[in-house]
Amino acid sequence: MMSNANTDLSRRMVLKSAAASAGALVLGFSLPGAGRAALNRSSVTLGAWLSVEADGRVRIAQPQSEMGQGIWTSMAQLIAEELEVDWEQVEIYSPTASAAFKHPIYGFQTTAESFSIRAFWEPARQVGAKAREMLKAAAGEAWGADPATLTARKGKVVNPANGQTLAYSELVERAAQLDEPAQVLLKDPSEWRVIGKSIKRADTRLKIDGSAVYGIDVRIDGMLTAVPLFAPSFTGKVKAVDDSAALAVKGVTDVVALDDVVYVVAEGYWPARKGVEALRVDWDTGDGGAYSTAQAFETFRRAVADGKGVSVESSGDSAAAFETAAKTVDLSLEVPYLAHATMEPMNATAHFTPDLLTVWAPTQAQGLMGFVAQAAGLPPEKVVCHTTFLGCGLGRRFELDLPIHAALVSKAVSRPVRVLWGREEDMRRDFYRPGSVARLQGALDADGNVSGFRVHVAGSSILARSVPNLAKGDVDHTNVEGLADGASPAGLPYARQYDMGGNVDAVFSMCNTPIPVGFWRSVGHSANGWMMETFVNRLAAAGGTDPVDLRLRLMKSDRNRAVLKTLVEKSGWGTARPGWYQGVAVHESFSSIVGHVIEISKDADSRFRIERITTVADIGVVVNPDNVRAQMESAIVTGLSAAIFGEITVEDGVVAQENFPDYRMLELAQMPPVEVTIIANGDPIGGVGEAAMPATAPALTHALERAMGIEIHSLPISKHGLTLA
Amino acid sequence: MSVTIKVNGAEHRLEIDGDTPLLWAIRDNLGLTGTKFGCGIAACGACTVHADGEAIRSCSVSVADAAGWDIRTIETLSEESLNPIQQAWLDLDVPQCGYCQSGMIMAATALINESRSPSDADIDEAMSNICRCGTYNRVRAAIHAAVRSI
Ligand code: FES
Ligand code: FES
Repeated sequence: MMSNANTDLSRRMVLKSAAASAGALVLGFSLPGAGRAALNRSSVTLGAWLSVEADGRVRIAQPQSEMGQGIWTSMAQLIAEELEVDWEQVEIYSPTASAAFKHPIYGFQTTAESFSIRAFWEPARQVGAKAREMLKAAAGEAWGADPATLTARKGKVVNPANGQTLAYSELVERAAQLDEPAQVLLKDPSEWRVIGKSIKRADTRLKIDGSAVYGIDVRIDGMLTAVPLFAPSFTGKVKAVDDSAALAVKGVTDVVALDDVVYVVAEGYWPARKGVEALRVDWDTGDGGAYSTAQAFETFRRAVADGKGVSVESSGDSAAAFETAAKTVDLSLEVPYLAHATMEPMNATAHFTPDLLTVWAPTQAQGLMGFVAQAAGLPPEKVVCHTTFLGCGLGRRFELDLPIHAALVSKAVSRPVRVLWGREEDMRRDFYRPGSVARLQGALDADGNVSGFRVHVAGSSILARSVPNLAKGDVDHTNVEGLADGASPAGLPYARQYDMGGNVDAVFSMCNTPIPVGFWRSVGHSANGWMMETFVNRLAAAGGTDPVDLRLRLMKSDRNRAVLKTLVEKSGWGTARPGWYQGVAVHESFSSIVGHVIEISKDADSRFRIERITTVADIGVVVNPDNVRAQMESAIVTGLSAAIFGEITVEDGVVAQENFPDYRMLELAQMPPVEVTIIANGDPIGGVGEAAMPATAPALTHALERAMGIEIHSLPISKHGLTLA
Repeated sequence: MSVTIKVNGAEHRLEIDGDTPLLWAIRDNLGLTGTKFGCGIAACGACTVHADGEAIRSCSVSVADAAGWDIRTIETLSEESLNPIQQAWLDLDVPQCGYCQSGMIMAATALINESRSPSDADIDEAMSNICRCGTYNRVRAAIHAAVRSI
């Protein structure tokens, strides 16, 4: 599954002589600045994207992190479609990280923001198409025929004039001598045979017999396992370590103190865990030693009450609109901090030597491993990164803390080291989905039209922590995405699906705290989708309008309206079964528009059951419908777990939750049937991994509000005396 | 101390503390990494194995207690061919990230071995494993499909 091919891929598409000598045609992407030309004559696959082997196999390197979203399969579908090969010939593997696999948008190898298929949509198909054209040209040469008259199909080139055929495997040596064509014309969508089909996942076989290798499964000769003891606050530092008892535990080899954490290193997880229990550390808990989420929310509420912040959208005269309004809505909403709790606990494996750092990790950020090398005192290019399968990513595995810890501990003990956290450390040392507070106000004129809109959001910035130059001017677009229209001073856009008229003011107050915040499935949309949709329901109630009608009126785009109309039709909106209550929400994110109708029932004790979910998703282009359905359900489950149970609280500097019993997940018995309708009418192509998240919570709270006759102004739902049966 | 456990038909004598959870003996000492670690407190089911045919959460039994049991892990389910549960999982493309799936498959296999035609309520009760990717509906459908195929 994992290849050790390691090379700095050529900017040129074809590595001619190496490929020819190995009897393989090897292609890679040509992306701006993809590194200097290099030839590795001793290697067969060279870390390139694609090799057509002389034995007929087609090996496709799939550099995006497979964390469940199905990218192994869907990315390879793009290449296989253009290459005209039988899917059975295709082998997919996770290549060594390389500059050749730079993400076309971010400029480094990463999997984020549902941006794999969207970004590689053209380049991946070009790889397949160029290889196909070269194989046709080789056949043309062999036959003395014009390549333009030849066709390629099922791993063969055919000459329709005389029925001659040559298999790709017979053409690779000749093809490898040819020059790469410039841009090649891609197939017309009407000719697609692989794109748009529910091709079986390429990784399922490995995931049903225990053979798939995740980060936690990496085994390197001589490897030790390191388990951490963290400072009891986010700002803590090690003062002194008494490791005598820890070192006395059988199997423990070393104790390594880093800045804010001490690792016990042992022959395996369990002795290391016992060593941690025996470890005594004196901590300086720092500024955040007594910090709490209660304090954080006080800060957010005060910022909103003060009304001061940075304007992120302003038009017309909202003050006048509110003065002359026939009716107003004034709504304050709060969302909690959330942990990722990826199914596979946090881990990374590293082997540090004075001239090279090797990392094996379930990572979303291969292209940032240079920082890990630097943290370990090596130049940034002295790192090799192997990507394993990820037992969920959810944004957590974009962070570099794990690889850095593994590198530093490996350096300290001069052995390969697997750093492995327990669930408790995972939950307490996360980069949390930021908690936030927002006040949303609407003005309605005498005809019930929206005449003014104000929103003020207060919360912590993910970008100010992780990429400060993208949070210039104290604006982080992720804090306001979905609520406001505009672009941050760093140039990053945010948008709201509704036209709220000509008198709008949106303000953001960046309130950074000791609680670290990070990218969490659908990022700002995860909070703001709930806020916007809840507000629109209040607006509809104030104006005496049906919530669906109001949305149809306010939506800027027919695309969004079509999603809502389809949803109404598919769900039987307004015709719920007796005893069932419906809630609706639609949100646009990652260039996709996803809406849900969630139907619930309740018993006498205010316990509720989720009976049915109807989902409509406009994703522009569908690569693999079955996988899209799986991703919709997946994000719905993440969304339901968060909306119903999810809350991380900090008391006296420490996260109160530590494992699944106090940070609960939806279970199989609670899972309703989900019916997904996909709309795909062409560009723009949307992401599918996250887009179903944001509308989940508001559709559920809408149904609950209608069922119980209450108003829900904060999440999670379980805080409001409502229990999921 | 040394403990002898029987895993996938073979006896293994391990130099190991008796209080070591069975999970870590399987993963770190025997190198069988198909059995996963998710919570360590019997709350998620990622570590599910069979002990004398019954699904148990291996993170929460000690290797000393497991001595004498016939322990089976995911690696042994398909020695000759896929079992009906695995086949149904393959047919329906159940896994996403896949990390919980060894545990899911072990729990589902124990369920259908015990009750040839489990009802939805039986499935609800037996399948308390957590899947962070939300594969629950496919898990349910695949169990029904596996039962039909037997
Ligand atoms: S790891 Fe054993 S139940 Fe979670
Ligand atoms: S498939 Fe990812 S946790 Fe279940």
